[in-house]
Amino acid sequence: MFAYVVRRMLAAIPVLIIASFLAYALVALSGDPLEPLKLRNPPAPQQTIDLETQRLDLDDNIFVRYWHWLTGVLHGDFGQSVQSSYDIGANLGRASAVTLRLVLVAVLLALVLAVLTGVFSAVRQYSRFDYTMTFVGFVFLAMPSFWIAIVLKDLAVRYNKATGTTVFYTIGETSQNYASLSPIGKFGDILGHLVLPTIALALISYAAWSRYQRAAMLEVLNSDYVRLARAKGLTWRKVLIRHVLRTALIPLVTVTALDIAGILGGAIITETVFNWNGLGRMLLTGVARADTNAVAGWLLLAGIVVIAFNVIADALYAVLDPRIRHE
Amino acid sequence: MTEVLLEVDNLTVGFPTEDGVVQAVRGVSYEVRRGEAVGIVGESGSGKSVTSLAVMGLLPRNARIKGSIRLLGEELLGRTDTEMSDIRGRKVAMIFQDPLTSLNPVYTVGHQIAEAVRAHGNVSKQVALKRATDLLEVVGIPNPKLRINSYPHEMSGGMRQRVVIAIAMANNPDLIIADEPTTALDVTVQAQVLEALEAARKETGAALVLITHDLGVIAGHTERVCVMYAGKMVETGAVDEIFYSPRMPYSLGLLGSLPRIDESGRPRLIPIKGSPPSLLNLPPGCPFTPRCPKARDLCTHTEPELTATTNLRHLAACHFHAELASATAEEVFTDLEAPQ
Amino acid sequence: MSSEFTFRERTQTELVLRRFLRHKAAVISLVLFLLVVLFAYAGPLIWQYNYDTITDDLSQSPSFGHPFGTDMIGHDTFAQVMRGTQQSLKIALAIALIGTVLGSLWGAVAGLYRGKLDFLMMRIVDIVLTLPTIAVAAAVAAQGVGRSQWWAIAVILGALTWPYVSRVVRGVVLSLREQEFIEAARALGGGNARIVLRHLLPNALGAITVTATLTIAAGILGEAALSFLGVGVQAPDTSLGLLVSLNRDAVNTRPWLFYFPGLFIILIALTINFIGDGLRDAFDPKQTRVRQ
Repeated sequence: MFAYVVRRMLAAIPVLIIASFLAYALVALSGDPLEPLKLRNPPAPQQTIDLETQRLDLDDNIFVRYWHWLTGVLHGDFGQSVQSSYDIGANLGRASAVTLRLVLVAVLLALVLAVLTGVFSAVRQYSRFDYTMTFVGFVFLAMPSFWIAIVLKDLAVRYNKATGTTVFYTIGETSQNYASLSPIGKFGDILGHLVLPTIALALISYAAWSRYQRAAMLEVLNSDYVRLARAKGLTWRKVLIRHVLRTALIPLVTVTALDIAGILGGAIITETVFNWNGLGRMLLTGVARADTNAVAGWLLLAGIVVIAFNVIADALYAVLDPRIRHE
Repeated sequence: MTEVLLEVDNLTVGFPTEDGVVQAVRGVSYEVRRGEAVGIVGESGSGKSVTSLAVMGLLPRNARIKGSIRLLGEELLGRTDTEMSDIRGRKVAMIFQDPLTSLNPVYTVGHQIAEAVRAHGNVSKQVALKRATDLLEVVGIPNPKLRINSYPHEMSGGMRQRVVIAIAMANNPDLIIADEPTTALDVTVQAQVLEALEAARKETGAALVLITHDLGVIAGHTERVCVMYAGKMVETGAVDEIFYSPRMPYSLGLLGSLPRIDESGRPRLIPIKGSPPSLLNLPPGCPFTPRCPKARDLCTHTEPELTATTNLRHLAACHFHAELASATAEEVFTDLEAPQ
Repeated sequence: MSSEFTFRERTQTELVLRRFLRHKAAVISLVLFLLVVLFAYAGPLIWQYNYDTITDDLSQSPSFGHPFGTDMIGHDTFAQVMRGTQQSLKIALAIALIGTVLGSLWGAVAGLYRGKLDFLMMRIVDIVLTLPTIAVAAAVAAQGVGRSQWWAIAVILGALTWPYVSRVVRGVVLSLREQEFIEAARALGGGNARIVLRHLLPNALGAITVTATLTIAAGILGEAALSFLGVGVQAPDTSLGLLVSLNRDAVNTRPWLFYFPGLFIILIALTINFIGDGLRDAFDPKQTRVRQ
């Protein structure tokens, strides 16, 4: 098992490196960070432009630049930002902590809801519940994530106004006075700010996964081994828990891992709507400034997260399905 | 006369579909006595599996079931799922066709047998696993102590099916229903599985309902046979009677298409032309009419009832069963135009 | 002996069409979708305002003259939604075209050749899929060549969509190639190119069509997301995503500006998803599938 995980991780390294090169090249070649300087009126002095060009490594070719960057990263140095005082590495760390808690809680919520809905819909196939949930799922899948987020935010603001309280936090990931709160207060504050963005981020994944789970459940429910389990004399409840769920949850593990990249993208949008200062804002700022090193570092981090999730999912799959273990 | 264990009385099963109701079973009656081995023969779609699933109460919820199924005098139809769960596995057990898909891939074989034991008794895991090991030995699996920790995918098809048999016999049922137990297996393995089935019967004293389309399997392992066609019983009797003097053209045809080592001199196999009818909108009369070389006008509007032929226990559903005395498949089924 | 039934042989296309028409939700969705297309392309020809016309009615709620109201500059939202729908549809269809064509060829070749080539091709797919689509799209679109031109957005998103299509098509090809008609074609001397074009792709058409349809929906939502982040379609042109984005703060005070464009995005994506679902059932009426 351990060997399997290590092997998967090693196999992922070349993928990661090529992906990061692609990302670096795309960003570096698509924009000129010195454009604002050059287009300024009056334009910046040539000396400034030259110094910046040197600082940002802009006169080398793309492979050399990438190599400098990569070797730097392996030493923990994420390179120079367009804004010279901006520490890319530190900000990546800070922003990930913020965004990853949103992503993890949202994934958990979506999984739980998807399994529950999938189970009930499959067991009560063609019932009103089933049709309703299928339709609801379709509707959520058709909604842009930012739309859901904005509507939720608006509803919360209206509710807050109506009741005169601040039950739902709609702005930022923590309150202004966060630093002065007690540890429990801090925890509560974080949770309070997590509620709405988590729901917004989870809804779309939930819609996709619950449809998938329903299909998986139906396939298992109609399988021969479920029929044999019933023929043994097991009640429906026991069959559902011991045979149906146990096997129907396995493919969900893979699906979740495959969707992680998309969820990260969704997190960018959700954070933007709720004014969070996490990876979303960091990316958008970097992109607007053509800050190659910042964006490349961001994409590298994203790649690592996606691969990590996939490796975990593979390992989990092997634990759950003995057939895979014996390959 | 041993007591009657299972009585199926005028069973009708229909499945509503988008195009109408499919009448899979149209008035089937038969009985099984204690310790008896009864075979049910028929093509796909004849209703043989559906009949057994009805006995087990495992038909889908939208199935329309009418008639009566009595186990030791007690009516099974209409019972709640909880009540049936008590009967399934304990009084009546069932074996299905495909051993690969019948076992859950994520649990060990021992676990799945033990589960059957614990479903009907308050025994500890260890006791149940011990029983599982014993059962594996009965069905002829080598190294049973080792094998209870194997997963289904680590075993061959024949071994898996024997595990399924072990599960079926776990609680000493009164009746075992085997639905095409050897169809998905190689011929060489079939014998082993059938042997295991015999061992299970000997050990538990259970009666057997053996469903198959393979007449060879019927010949060696059952005492009585019921032939089904298009959802109805068309002939029933002792194995020897059916094999040596069938009185329904369909049975005759089935036997004619069976390769026989004991009959030298028969040059070729005689197939029955045509295919089984759709059960969606069955025309009136005998359903075998389009494929029957003996068919006449009467056959197209009156469906024949099961009537006694050579003796009171040999029944056939054919208006002209008397004409089939000492007929051979060659005589009846060759030199024909293809029926419309 | 006369048979009770007479059958007319139906062609494959007829069967697929018949099955599709039985899917009520899909048929209704198709009608609605066509209405939306009509609205977007025929609408501006008969409506009195253009999307960039500035009227004197500022921030008006919906009325007879302005069914979707107006914004604070005086634009007629009805006309803007029409134009926005045009642009969003155009982009989404282009994305689906690029993604489906590239992805189908890639997946078909990988599935047919298997071995090292397949391994390499699928690792490239993995690489592209490792990075979040929106992030890469934003990075390239923010600064790139042809910045914020509708075709640039289509190319970028199409280039990020084809990997998903290739996986699906590869799966279909893998299962098709095991079937005997491919062996027969080879035995008759068919080379690989011929096999791909004349045997594999036509049989994979069902899966490809369904995937293409679903890609359109993904394209609409993707373009909306990019425009929302400010790196998609830009003023003075408009798209549904941009309309929602520009009016996100008006959700409370002038909801018509926010909800109407949004509802159109949802309507388009919803109808397309239902149509895709109907197509899936029409091409393959077996029970629900689960494998990737």
